[in-house]
Amino acid sequence: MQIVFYGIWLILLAVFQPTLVRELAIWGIAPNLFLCFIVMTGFFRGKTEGAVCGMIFGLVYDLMIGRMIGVSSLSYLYIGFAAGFLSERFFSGGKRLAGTVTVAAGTLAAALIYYLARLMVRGDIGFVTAIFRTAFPEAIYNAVVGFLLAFPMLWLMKLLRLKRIS
Amino acid sequence: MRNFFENKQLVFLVAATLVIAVMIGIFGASAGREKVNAAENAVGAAAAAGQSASSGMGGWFSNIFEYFGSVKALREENEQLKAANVELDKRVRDAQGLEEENAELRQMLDLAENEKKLELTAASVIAKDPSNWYSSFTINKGTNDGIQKNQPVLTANKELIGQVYRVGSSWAEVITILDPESGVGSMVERSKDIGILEGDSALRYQGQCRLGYLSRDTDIEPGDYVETSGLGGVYPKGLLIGKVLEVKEDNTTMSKYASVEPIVDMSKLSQVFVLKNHVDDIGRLSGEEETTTDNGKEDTDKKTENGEEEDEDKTSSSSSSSKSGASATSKPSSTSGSSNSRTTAKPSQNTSGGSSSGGNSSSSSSSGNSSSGSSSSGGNSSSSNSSNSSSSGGNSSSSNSSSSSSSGSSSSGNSSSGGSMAGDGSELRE
Repeated sequence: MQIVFYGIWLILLAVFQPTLVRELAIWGIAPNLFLCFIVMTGFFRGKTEGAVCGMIFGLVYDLMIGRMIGVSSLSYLYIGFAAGFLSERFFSGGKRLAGTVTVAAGTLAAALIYYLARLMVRGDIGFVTAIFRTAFPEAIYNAVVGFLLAFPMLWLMKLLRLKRIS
Repeated sequence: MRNFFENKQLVFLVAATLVIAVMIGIFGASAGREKVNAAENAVGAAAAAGQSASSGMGGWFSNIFEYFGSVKALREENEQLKAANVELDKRVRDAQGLEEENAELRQMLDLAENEKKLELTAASVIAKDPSNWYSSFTINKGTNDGIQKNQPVLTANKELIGQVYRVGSSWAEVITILDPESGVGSMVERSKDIGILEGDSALRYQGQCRLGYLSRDTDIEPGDYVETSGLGGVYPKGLLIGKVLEVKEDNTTMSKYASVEPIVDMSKLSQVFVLKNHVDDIGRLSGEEETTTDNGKEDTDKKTENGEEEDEDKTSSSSSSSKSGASATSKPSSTSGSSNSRTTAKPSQNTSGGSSSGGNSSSSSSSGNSSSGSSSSGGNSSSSNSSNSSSSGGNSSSSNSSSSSSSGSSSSGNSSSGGSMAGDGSELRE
């Protein structure tokens, strides 16, 4: 059932992220469904699944972008793990609102890692642009989308009889 | 150490980190790679199938929002378009007269018909860059359709969009000129001063790019048009890029740079054309081209083994060619991203080293669409071997933006403007 759950979401995210979601861009910034899903997975399913999901989904995301393959995979691995850790340790089973805040924090962390990697590889982006023009608006947008994404995630988990961590 | 191996999660994290680190080392920076790897191709091909359908849905959503917000504006626009249509009809008639006159004059002068085909492949945009860091999109054509890395991507009006960055079997990723990894050899149209147009991470959000490496005495002003210089071996010379918005001086490098707004609205692209000719081939053109457009469904262009191309365009919607050495003829655009066209007079750049005939204008009116006829006047210039010799004053190109409507991939009734593509073979080969 886990494979079905993640398979469905992987297909949905891979199809909608570069198409429908890009149409929702505000001032050039669109939400990152992959990141929202990974954080929420860590939050609802624990740090191990969060980490594995982060690595695999991050890799697919990297392959779709095709620029610095592996960077998102690595950062999402840790973000998924951290989300699960926080959920288990502090929020006992994952509260949606707490997950939303974690999504925003995870977005900032991922953006910072991506910025540093890109700075090392190409050095073609400024800190202010990367963080204040890209990361912060995306973090806010992701927080909202992450909150909304939790509903269909929990619905599908219930349908497939996957338990939330407690 | 023993505790470490007992903690499975920690072992997993470390192992996964090592694996990804190795992967980053091998595949990390994709720039410079000629081919995509198998995983990229598989993900791209699988995603492309779903994205084709989904992109339509995305467009539908945005259309719904736009529809309700723009009824009043549409009415006003309709009135304006009706008025413009009357004017354009008149111009088309004038242009047809000029075309006939031109043909007669050409016959009289016995100018050689030195035509070359621009091999364009129409493609639909099926997805955009999933991240917020770059400016790229995916098209529904790949190596199966003869698409290769670095091929230029244009609008139907031959305005530059970008270049092919990655190619899969049934898809290709195109980076636009706004992308930070893009670099285009460019030239200020008026003064012929050259520079390099680069994507800028900050300017990208304003839909602008940066024209850099300009010397301090470069003659450039806001409002100047920028086009490809042909240097660099990727883009042919003379493709319109954009308009200068602002010029600044860079004190650190003792040079100038300008912010340039592309002619094409990159956020609204739905149909693009990939130029499959090698830039050297186009460079040998002598000022006149004929455009061949594949619509993908009836792709009949065949390549011979020695690389020469036999064009057997059987498509019913093959573009009609027009030969205009000096002025741009406009046409109904099938690229919705194409926005404003130039309205100022443009000096001719018929600078081929062979037999060239300049100053010929034509307009082809396509069925159903009111194409804005271009008016050009005289100015038939003979060829000169020198590069960038502007000739024939009085060429006015009045190419108004045209309606875009076709959702298919064919470009019926296109009339290409040879003038804007007039390449200089000697310059292109560096």
